[in-house]
Amino acid sequence: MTVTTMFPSVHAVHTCPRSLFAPEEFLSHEQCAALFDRIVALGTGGGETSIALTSRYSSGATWARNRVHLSQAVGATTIEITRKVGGASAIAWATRTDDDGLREAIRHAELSLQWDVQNPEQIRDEPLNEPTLTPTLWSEPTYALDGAQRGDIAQHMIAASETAGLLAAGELLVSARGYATFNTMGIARYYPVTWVECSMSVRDQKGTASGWAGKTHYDIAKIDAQALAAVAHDKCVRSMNRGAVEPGRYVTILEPQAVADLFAVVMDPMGPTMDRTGAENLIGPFALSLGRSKIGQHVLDRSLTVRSDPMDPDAGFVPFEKYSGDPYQPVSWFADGVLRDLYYHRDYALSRMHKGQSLELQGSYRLSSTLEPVSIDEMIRTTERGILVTRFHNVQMVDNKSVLCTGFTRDGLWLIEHGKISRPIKNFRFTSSPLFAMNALEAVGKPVRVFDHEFARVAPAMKVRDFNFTSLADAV
Amino acid sequence: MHRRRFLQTSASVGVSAMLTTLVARSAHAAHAATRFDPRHIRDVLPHQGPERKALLLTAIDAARAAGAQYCDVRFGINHREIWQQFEGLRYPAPSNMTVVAVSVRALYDGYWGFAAAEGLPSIDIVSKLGKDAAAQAKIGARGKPRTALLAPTAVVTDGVWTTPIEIDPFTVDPGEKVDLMLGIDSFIERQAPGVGGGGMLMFVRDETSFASSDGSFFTQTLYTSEAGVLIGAEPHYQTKLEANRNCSLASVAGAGWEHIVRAPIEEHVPQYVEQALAMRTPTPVNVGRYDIVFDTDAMADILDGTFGAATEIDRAMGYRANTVGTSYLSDPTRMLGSEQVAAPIVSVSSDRTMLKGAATVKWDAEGVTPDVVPLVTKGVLTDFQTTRESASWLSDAYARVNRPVRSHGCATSDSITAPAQSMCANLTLAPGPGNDTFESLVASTKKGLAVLGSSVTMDQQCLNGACQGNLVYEIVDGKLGKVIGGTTILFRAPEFWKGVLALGGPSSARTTGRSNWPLDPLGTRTGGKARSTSVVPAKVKQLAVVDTIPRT
Repeated sequence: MTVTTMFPSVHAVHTCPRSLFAPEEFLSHEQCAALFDRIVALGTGGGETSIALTSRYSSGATWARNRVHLSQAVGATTIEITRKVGGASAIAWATRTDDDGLREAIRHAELSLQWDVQNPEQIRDEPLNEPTLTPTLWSEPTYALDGAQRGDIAQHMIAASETAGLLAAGELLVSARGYATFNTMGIARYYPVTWVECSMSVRDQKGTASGWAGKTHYDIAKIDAQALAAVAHDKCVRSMNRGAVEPGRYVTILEPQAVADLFAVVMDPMGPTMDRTGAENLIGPFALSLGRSKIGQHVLDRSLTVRSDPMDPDAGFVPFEKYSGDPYQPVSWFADGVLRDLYYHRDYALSRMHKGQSLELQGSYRLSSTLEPVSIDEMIRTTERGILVTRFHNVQMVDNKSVLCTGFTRDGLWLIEHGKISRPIKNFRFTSSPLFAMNALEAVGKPVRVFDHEFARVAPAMKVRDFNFTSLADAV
Repeated sequence: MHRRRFLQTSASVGVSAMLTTLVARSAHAAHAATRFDPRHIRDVLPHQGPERKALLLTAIDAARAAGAQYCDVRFGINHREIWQQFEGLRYPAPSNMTVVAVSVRALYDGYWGFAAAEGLPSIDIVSKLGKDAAAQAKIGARGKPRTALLAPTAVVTDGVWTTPIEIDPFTVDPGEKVDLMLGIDSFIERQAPGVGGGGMLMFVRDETSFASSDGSFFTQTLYTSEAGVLIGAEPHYQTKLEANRNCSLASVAGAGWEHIVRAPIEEHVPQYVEQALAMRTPTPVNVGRYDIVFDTDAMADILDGTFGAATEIDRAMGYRANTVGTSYLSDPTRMLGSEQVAAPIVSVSSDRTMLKGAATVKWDAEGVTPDVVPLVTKGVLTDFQTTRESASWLSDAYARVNRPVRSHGCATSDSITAPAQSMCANLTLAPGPGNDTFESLVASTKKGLAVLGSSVTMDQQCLNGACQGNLVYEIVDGKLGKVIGGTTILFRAPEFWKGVLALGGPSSARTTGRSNWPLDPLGTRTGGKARSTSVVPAKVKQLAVVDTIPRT
C-alpha cells in the first residue's frame, strides 16, 4: 500500500486538465504521487521524507526592435527532497525523475544528515492534514494558447509602434505548472496553475523617451494585450522632449505599478520587514521593545488594508505552504491601518504560541482602501503641483528601521501643474519609505492587478504628499 | 596556515569534542557511501563516450530536418554545494543541488527558436527538442523579415577542457570543510569580545557538452569556489549600534578547494573585525563634494555596474529594454572608436581567458574561443562584449576602425534552460603608470573620503549610480581619520570615469569575484553569471556625498 492510498488526497477536486491541443508538458497529480512513492522507496535509514515539487512548462515570445527575435518552450521539473531522521534534516534538489537521479539526490540528502545536529527529543512536526481552500488558478484557454497564437498577439502589440517609427520590446510568457507537496506523515497536496506575463516597452529611435505597461495573471482573458501595448506606446509619445525639474518633495501620484514596486520591500517573503521574530528582537520597523512588536498599533493610513487570501479572484495563490503543506488561510496583515500580524515559522509557533501551525508570508496580496476610489485623472485634476510616476526601478532598502528605500523612476514621469499634466520630465532618484508614503495619503484609486514575476499582487493608484525625489537621474 | 590550527588553538573543549564527533561522522559517511551507488549521469553519459555525442547530434539532425538553417545544442550537468550560516557549534547540513538539462537553439530566416528540458535526456527527448526549436523559430519568422548574421568561428573538433584546479572541492571530505569553517568562527570570536561570525562556502561544477550544425563538439567542465563570512559586532555601549560586516574570505574564482585553504584568512580577519567594531561609532557625514579614494573591492563593484553592464551589446542595442534596461552607451556604431568615456588614464578590458577567472572558459556558449577585449582604451570606448550575431551589428563600426567582425566569446546564459546572450565577463581595470597603492592615494589627499568595499546600485541605463561604502573613513591631511556613517556617493558614470585622478600601480592590483549567489536554490533567479574583476584602487575627484541615514 503506498503512502497516497493510506492518506487519500484531500485535494481530488483539481486534477490537471488536459488540453486536446497541447501535449502533456508537466506532471499531473497522479504522476507526482507516483514519483513520491518511488522517492520514499529509494530512501534508507527510516525517518520521514517530504518533497516539494514544481513541474512547469513555459513558452514565450520575446521581442525587441519590433521583431519577435526569440520564441521558446522550456519544460522543467524541480524536486526538493527533505529527509528527516531523529530531528536532523537535510535537503537535496534534483531535476531528474529517473531512479538513478532520484537515488543520487536522496543519497546527497542522507549523507548530509550527519552534519545536522540530531535531537531525538525535538518535537516532531505534525502535519496539518486539513482541507485547503480551492482557488481557481487554472485557465484552460491559457494552457491551450499555442505558439502561433502567441506570436500573433505579439505581432499585433508591435504593429502600431513600428508604424509610428518607434521601437517596441516586450515579452509574452505563458506557463502551466503543477505544485506538489507530499510527505510520509500523510500530506498529499497538488495544485495546477497557469500563469501569463505580458509586458511591453516602447522607446523612440533616439533613446530620449520610453513608456511601459505590463500585467500578470493566471487567465489570459484578464490581460488585454493590445491595451497594454497602447498604454506603453502612448507613454512613450507623451514622454518626448522631457525637461528637468528640481528634485524635492512633491505631491506625487503613484500609478498602481509604482505602488507595488515601492511596497515590495515590505511584502517580500524573504525580507526582514514582516518577520515577527525579528520585530521582537528589535529588528525592523515593527519592533516595539524587546520581546514585543507593534501588532495592534496604527502604522499605515487608517483607510488601508493589506490582505493575503488564496481565494482572491485577482490575487489568489496556491493554497498551501510549499514545504509543510500547511493550508494557507486568509490573513489581514494590515487592517484599517493597524498592523494585525507578522509572519512566523513553525518553531516560533511551537515555542511561543504553543500551536503547530506557522504563519507564512506568501508574497501575494491585495492592497485596498476604504476611501472612495478616485481615478488617476481626478487625482491629477485636484493637484496644484505634483508628479505622476509610472513605475520604479531597482528599489533597494537603505535602512530597515524605517524601511527607507532608494531607487529610480522609469518609463514615464510627468509634471502636474494646475490640475493638468504640463510636460514630461526627466527621471529622478527617490529616497522614501513605503510606510511614509502610506501615512501621507490624499487619495486612492481602484485596486488593479499589477505586473510581478512571482506573486499575484493587487494595488491601487495613490496620491501622496511629500514624496522625496532626491536627485535627477537622467536615464531613459 | 593549516586549518586544524584554528581548532587546536581554541580553548573550547566543546570544539574538541565536536572534532571527535566529526571524525566519527566522516567514518559513517564513508560507510554510508558504500551502501548504494547510484549511477551518476556522467557514468550513464560519459563525456568522452559516444553516447553523449550521439545524443547531441540527434538534436542537431532533428532541428536541421525541421528546417533550421543553424542550430546548436547544449547538455549540462550543474552541481552546486552550499554550506551556509554556521552558528557556533551547530551548523545545518549543506544544500546539494544537481540540475541536468538539455537545450536546442535554432535559427530560421533570422529568427531564433529555443527549446529546453530538464532531466535525463533520451534520443526521443532530444529529437523532440530539435524539432521544437525549429518550430519555435518558424513562429517568429511569420512576422516581418529579420536578418541574423553569425560571425564566423573556428570549428572545435572533440574538444575537452576543464578549469585548471588542484583539488576538486567535491572530493574534499565534508568534515574538513566543517573543520575549516568552525576554526574560522573560533578565530573570529577570539579577536575581540562581542564579536562573532557565520560562514558560507559555495562550490559549483558546471559540465556542459556543446554541438553545433557547424560541426563543433566539445565538453567543458567549469569549477568555481568561494568562501565568505558575516562578522557581527554586538551593540556599542554608547551608540547602541551593532555592526555586520559581510566579508569575502575567498571571493568566487575559477578554482578548487585550494583557493579556500590558501586564502589569507589570518591576515584579513583581524582587519575585518577591527572594521566591524569601528562601524559602530560612526560620525555623521557632512554632505558635499569630496575627492574619494576607493579600495579595490569598491572599484570592482563600480566597474561591474558601469562599464561591465553598459558594454553588454544586447543591452546597448535595446534587446533588454523591457527588462533590466538599456545602456548609456546607446549608439554603439557611432561611439565605437571615438567616444571619450573616461579619463585618458583609464583602460578596461573584458577577459574570459583570465587565470582563475570566475567567468573563464575555453569556449563560450556558442563554441567561440574568447579573446581579450579592449572595451576602453586610454579613455576611449573601443569595443563591446559581443556574441556571434551581435558582433555583426557592429560591422560598420569595425570596418571604420579596420577590425574584423568576430564574436568576442561573451555568449553566456544563467543555465542550460535559458538562451545564451551577451553577459558581462571577467573585467580588468589596467593599473596606472606609477606605483601608487591605496595607502599612497590616501596620503596624497588633503581632504576627502576613503571607501572600503561598497554596494553599488545603478539606474536602468547604467548611467546614474549610488555607492554605499561598507566602511568609510574621512581623510584629513593624507591620513585616515574618523569612521563616517550613512555615506552614499552619487555619481554619473561618464563623470565618474572622466574624474579619475589617479590609479594604483601594478602592485596594488587585486582580483575579486562577483558571485552568482542564487536567489533560489536552483538558480532560476541569480545575480548574473559569476565573474572576476581585476582592479586597482583609484582616486576620483569631487563626487557628491549624501547622508541616507534617518536621524531622529
